[in-house]
Amino acid sequence: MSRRSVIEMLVLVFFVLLPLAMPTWALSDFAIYFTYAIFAVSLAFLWGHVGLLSLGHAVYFGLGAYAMGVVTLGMTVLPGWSVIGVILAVLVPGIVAFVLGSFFFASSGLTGAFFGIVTLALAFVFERMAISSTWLGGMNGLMSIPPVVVFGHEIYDPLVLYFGLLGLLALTIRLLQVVMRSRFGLLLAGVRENELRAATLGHQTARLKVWAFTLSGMIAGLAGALFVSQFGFASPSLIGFSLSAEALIWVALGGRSNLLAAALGAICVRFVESQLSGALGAVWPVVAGLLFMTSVVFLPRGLFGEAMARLQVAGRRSDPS
Amino acid sequence: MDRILIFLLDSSNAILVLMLVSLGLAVIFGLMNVINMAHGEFLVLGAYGVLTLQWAGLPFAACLVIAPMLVALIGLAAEELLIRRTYERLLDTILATWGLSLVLRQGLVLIYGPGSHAVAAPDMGSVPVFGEIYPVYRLVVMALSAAAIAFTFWVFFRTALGLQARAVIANRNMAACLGINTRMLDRLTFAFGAGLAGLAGAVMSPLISVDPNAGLGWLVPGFLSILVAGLGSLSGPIVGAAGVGAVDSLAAAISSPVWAQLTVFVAAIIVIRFFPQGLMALKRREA
Amino acid sequence: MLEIQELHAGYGGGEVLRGLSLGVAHGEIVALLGRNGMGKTTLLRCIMGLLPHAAGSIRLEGQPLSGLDCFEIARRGVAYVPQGREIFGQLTVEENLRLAALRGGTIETGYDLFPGLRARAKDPGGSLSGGQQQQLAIARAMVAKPRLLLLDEPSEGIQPSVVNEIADIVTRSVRSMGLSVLLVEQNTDLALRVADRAVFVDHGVDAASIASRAVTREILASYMEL
Repeated sequence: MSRRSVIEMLVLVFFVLLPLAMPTWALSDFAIYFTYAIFAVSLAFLWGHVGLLSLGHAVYFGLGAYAMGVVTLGMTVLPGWSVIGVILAVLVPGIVAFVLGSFFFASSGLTGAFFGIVTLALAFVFERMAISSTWLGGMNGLMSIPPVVVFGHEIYDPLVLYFGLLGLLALTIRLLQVVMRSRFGLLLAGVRENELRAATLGHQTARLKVWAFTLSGMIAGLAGALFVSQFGFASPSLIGFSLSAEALIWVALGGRSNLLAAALGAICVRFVESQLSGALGAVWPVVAGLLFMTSVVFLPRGLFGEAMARLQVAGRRSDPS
Repeated sequence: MDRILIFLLDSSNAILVLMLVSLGLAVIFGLMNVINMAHGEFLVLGAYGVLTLQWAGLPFAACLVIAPMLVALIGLAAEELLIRRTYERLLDTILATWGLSLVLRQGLVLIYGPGSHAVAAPDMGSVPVFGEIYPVYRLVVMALSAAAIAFTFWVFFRTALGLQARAVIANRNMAACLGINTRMLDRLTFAFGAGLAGLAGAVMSPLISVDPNAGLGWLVPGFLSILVAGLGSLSGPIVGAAGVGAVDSLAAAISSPVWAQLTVFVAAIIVIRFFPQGLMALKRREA
Repeated sequence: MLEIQELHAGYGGGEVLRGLSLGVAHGEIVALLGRNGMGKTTLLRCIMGLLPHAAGSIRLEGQPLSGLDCFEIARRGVAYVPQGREIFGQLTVEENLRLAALRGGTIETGYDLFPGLRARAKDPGGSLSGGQQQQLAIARAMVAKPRLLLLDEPSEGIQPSVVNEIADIVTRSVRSMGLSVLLVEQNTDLALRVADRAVFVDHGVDAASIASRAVTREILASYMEL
């Protein structure tokens, strides 16, 4: 087993054992953190692996959240089953990401900072549309969204939520790792490193990026659906600027080029925030912002990304096999 | 007829201020290759500066002069402490300045509270303009914005400092080989760009609701303006802001301000996507 | 006036200069000769401060240049005419010269050197012909009243007749001002005609230093041919 898998296993074991040392009410908090972590992973895949910095990634999270809410509240002609909600919460952001991605990347396409600024402007657009849509509840959003129903049982037991979401998070990371190691994933890495070369080698880089963007949007949408069914309501703040900014902080602090590091970034920032926001209050966002800036300047690989990279190097040195 | 005149005056007002914002962004990007996501907050700081100085009892005119200078100083500090450490890493300049914007925004919440404040408008009354009564202060805003834009062009094209700045934009290494202190120019440029945003915020402060989150509403149109017209020249942001501002005003007159903004954003995104001159300019810089 | 000792420098992982030593006396013109990729341009970039060196020292009039920014080195009297000229194409001819004249010096120096530039003063530098661009690049370097002039491939891409004319003007001017010159030039005939001494660079070190008059075909062949 590689050093990297050992680290991943240890982290998983840690979170499996964690409930033993935690009061029950904290379990549901962690279930929410895991949900955010799934969102963070979708962003880290796009940013770290494909090299596309999306400044408005909450759009897809929010679309998933609203889709789930609309379906499970019975606002559509479809039966209000959770499974239909989840399917739509993955499909709708996926389709939107596919359409927007095709628009962004076709032929010469948007790159680097242009992509970032356009995605930011889009987050603005989507947030405004959510606010001004009366069907979606406007400023207040959709309220009383029910929990996920599995085989007729509403899932609200904290322990079940904890392990359910931990499992989904682990599964998402695993799935994306498989994708990253596949031929498609290697081509994406090639696009990140040198798009021109990948293109001259005959690869349709635009199509690769569109599919990567779509996949990332689908996972973000799934996270959004899981979020609202725990949290109970979907509001315009889920789709716009501020959640996008927060997700960037998680991923940058955790580590953009390592999915597990990004997930840990989300979990840690949310946990520390919940612990400190009582004591620090409104000072907390300033602290988070300062930490974020510091990591951008001094730790571009992120806290966990840096730590894991070093552990792996140390492992390689001490273990010649 | 009279409504059209008022509409034209109001639109010119909005456009001139947007030009000021875009110009600051473009100057910073052109010289330093830094995407300044904190530019909107610099504008808001200018407005809060006026608010604070007014509380301290200074006359409004003095506030208008001092507030942008304070913002320029904050820009100078930000450049020294943060931004210069991310040069050569374009995407990281976005993140670093994004972090800065979060900190500044929350800092304003801590100091002034999350709510909005109103800056007392200077009582200048109204004058007839082509037969229509129009507030004098709005005319002053236009004049000051136009003057600041003209000043920026004058500095860039008529002074030794501007000549050096243009040389650095064209070829940073060669400029240094001629003895030009590029670090000093970076500092000055960032402070100047921040000061322009601060000035925009200061002159607009009596006309807008001053709240910590007001910056984003300026940042995005500012960026779209410079991208729409293409990077690489000082006239780009002027032309772009005129376009973005005009479409915004027209759409707002037909529908609502919210839909106007959506129209502008979507239109700008489409233009940016399909008109390559802006894209080409950025690609050249990224290479 | 320029002393370089045991200079090591390179790009990324690869070392290009491997302990090069070199001196240029006051008023001396030294030609750096050698095959491509031996480190001649790298040396000029190191002197100018555009490339940091890993080890060794560079001194100008006894003062170390190591660690100084490019602009500080320029202000100490080193002027650089890079390969490809790198004039500011969007700026006018006059603006190109004025940039160099901002810290003392006058643009008239440049016009006196190449009077043809005066007629093009208001034209963008990019609109000049190759030969004129080279004149502008040299004029720009001379306007700053340097003590040491670094010339990298000044004859590259210019018609031979124009090359000789420029070479004569520059040599005369440099001699009259007592400037020291470090010249990198592929055209060895030209280089040996204007230089007092030739330093042959081979694999990042100074392989030989020979007075221009004493350079024979055999010596040239041994350092220049593959």
